[in-house]
Amino acid sequence: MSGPPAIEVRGAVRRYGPVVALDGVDLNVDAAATGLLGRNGAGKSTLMKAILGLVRLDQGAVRVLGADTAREGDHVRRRIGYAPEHECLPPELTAADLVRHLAELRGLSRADAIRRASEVLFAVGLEEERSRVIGSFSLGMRQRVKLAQTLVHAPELVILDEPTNGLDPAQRSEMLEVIRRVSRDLGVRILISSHILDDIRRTCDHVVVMRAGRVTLDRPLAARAGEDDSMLIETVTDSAPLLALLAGRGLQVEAAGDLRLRARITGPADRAAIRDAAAESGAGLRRLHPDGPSIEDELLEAIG
Amino acid sequence: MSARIHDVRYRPFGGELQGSTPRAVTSMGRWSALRALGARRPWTAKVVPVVLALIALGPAVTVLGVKSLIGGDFAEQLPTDLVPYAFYYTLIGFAIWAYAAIVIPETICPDRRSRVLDLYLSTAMSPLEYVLGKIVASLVPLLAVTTLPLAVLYVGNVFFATDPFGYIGDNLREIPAILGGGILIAFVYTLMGLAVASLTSRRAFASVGFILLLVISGLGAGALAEVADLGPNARMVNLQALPVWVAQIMIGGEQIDGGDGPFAAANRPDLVPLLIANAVVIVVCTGVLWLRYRRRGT
Repeated sequence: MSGPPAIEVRGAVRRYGPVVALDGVDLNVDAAATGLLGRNGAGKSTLMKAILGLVRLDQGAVRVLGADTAREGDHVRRRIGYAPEHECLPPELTAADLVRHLAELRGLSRADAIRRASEVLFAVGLEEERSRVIGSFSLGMRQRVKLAQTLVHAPELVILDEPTNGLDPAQRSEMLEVIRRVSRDLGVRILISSHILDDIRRTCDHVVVMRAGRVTLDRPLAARAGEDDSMLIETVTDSAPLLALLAGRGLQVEAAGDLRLRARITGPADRAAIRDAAAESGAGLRRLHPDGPSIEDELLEAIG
Repeated sequence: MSARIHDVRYRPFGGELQGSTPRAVTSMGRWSALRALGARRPWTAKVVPVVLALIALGPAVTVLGVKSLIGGDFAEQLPTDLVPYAFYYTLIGFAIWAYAAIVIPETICPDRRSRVLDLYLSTAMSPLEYVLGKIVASLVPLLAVTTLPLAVLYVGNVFFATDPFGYIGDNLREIPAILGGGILIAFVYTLMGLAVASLTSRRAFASVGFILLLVISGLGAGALAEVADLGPNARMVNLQALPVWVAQIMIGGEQIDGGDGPFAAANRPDLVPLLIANAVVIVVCTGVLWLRYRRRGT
């Protein structure tokens, strides 16, 4: 991505009476899809509203696509799309009418609004249902309408607040696939908040974890270089024959307790070598996993 | 290396976004008015606005029908003002109140109930643009019952007059008075209706609240004027008649008889207190709307 970062948050503080919703948040968001993870009440929605300029900060500043949300809120909101967490669709309008109406409010001409409404409803898989009133939609379809309206003016950034809230497993899976497609195929940067780790893992490239108004983790979701280098090998029987075999084949390996070895690997070929050596030695491979906490462990620790 | 085709029938929007207040207000006004009038909704949603508009047009159509039936040689013998313009409001007062009570909440309450307001305000649309759009959405349909019937009657009277140009010459000042009076009535009731409706997300509560406001203010005005013996000027708290009295004066001058009932000339306060009272209503209602919509977020 070129140009300024999608979102820059510096020292953001927001209090609601005695409750500190944002407690000195510092953050840079610029990945294709970023997940904002945290328990309910961690400050995710407040941060999203601050990014939209809908919440005034007590301290700090937020810049979105290079513009200050406090001073240039209208300019920022014109360039981004937002889908709130809660139900916010008028049940008596059709999906096409609502998206068209919001397109006009966002500055599209009537002709462009009609065309774009059709395009984005197709993109989220609602082409057949676009003329049905929203009141007759399932929850999953309503979430897609919310997503479609965020895209109608071709924003540079889309913010989705808990987009899978209330969906059953099948609807959730479909919704996550649509979101992934939007960021991957349509080239729109996305910020998604969720309290479900799996949602973020399936849709995002980067994750920011919040707890009690603070950022507790900010990292890419792909394993960093070196993270997976050290693997623990757990065997069913004595691991000494396997240790000898692996050392003989040039792997850096050492004993790590009863029935456990620690090996340094450099690629998939080393994993295959461990598997084959375990079969040859008859040690029985119980488990092969990274040495140290996994990304999940790290995320769960950060969520608290 | 394999290729993948993603048929999402989606392309980045290459046009220019035209963010401007008139555009946002017009769009919000048009969509809200269409929804309130039942467009693209079941026929049951269309019945009430259409019936009330027809009721408001009824006296004009009746007068013109009588003129067309009797017409010919007898037309000369009919009084020119079969229904005087200023008296017309007495005939359709109920339709105006009912229209305002039913149609105006329809423009604003569903947005709060379905929480779509949050969605609107997350766009570049400001709360002021939102409220202006709702004023347009309420005002324009209301003109169909406050201005259109009198305009139809005027045009019909011109058509059936033996000397149309003479009729226009004799009744020239009625044209701006009919338009101005109708717009004033629609504007005051629009602000009152929106102010009441902004306090609730339930259309029924807003409709009942608006009617109660009219009824209670009318009863209060009567009590102040007669029981407390404060004279006609005490009736300027009567919200049923405030804008209508001004419109009647604009159309017919001080001498016009508004008939019996809520618009009776005998009950009418003087023009200056009337104007002040209308201004106060406008300021108070604007204040309520400002309080309810002054902030985009928290």
